[in-house]
Amino acid sequence: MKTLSLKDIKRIQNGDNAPLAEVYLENKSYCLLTLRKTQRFALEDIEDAYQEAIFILRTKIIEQKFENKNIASYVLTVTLNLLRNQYRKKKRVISFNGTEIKLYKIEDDTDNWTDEEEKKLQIIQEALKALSPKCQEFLTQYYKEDMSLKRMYEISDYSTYNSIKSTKCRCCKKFKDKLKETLDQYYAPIHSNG
Amino acid sequence: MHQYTRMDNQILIQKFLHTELSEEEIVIFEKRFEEDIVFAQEVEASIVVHLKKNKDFKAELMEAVEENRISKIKEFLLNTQNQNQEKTDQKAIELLELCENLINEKHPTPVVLRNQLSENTDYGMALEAFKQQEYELAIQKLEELDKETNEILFYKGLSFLYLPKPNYTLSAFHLAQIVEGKKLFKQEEATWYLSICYFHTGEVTKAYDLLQTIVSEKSWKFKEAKRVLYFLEGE
Repeated sequence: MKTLSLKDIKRIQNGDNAPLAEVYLENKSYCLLTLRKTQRFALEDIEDAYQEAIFILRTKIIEQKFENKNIASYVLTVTLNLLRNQYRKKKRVISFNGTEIKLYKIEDDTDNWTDEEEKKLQIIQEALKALSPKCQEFLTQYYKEDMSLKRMYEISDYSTYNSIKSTKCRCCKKFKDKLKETLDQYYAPIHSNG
Repeated sequence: MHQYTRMDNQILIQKFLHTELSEEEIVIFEKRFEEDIVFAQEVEASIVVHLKKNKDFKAELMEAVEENRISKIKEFLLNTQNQNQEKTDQKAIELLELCENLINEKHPTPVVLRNQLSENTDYGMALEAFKQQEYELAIQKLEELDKETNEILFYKGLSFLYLPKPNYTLSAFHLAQIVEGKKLFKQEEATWYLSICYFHTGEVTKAYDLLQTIVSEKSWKFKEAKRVLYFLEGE
């Protein structure tokens, strides 16, 4: 399927997802392989973005804004753009129980923060302080100062690149555990009351 | 200062949601998002609506994909066997069940001598996770490795296959690289598992061709492959 037939376009406009399922299955391996080989994005992120690209394709078709071009390259380009945007944001956030915690906000201007944001900041700082100095320094550099792992490896005394990656995993895990403990302390009374 | 109309805002937001903003437009967008509270509220409301629609659509799409997979098998069966529609529906489901049963027994973890591999390396941890049937962790550790040998591809492919909710596409994605590659290591095993994955991804002809290769070359699991072929051909 290089382009969509007029019949398929009509079906999609009438709410039939079957032609989109066909597009999805036909181009998925191509998108995964290309983006994985050329850009090194995580597979699950590519899969997520790929589904969103199909959603955007449908919106465009319904709004009659889709120029019927090569479908594979259209879906690939949209997926790539979505991933780039996502990674730009992701670099500075850490995911915790489905919530993204913006570590870089720690030293931001806090004058106009809401009470909820202040509380969140306090929880994050407490969790951070409970970690070893090495992990504190690591997470601060990686998330707040937005330093790449490669750059951190270059200026550090880690013997191999793998060891710095292990440190990242270990520190993130410890941080998430601490965060959970701290959150439980803050929110336990509210939860226990129902 | 430029005055933006509601229409301008809508166009900008739609472009943002569809990732069509240019580098310059991203700068303008972010600046306005920071400074213009009405615009920021409009963006936030649009994101909520977009995410809701997107989530609903993903569920609908996955349903359509599932139907598409089953219909591909039915189509194949209709072409190879002279059976009525009703019988074919049942056979398609039975085929997928047969495939699941045939890979029910988990593939063994490679035997690694202590002096060959440190348990603390990512690969060592990945193999341990695989052995303990913690497939998500195994995938995570294998993903962190810089190189992709046939063995790494193989265990990554199997980990996706053994997840509580198997991801057949990602499993096939890794296994196909072994099958289509030049290195022979793990190729026979990968071919068998890949054929099973292809039934689930709706690529029935590819699955059928791989099974025929396995049987004709008397490769690993050729008896099982023969069983699936008999079922497909209605013998």
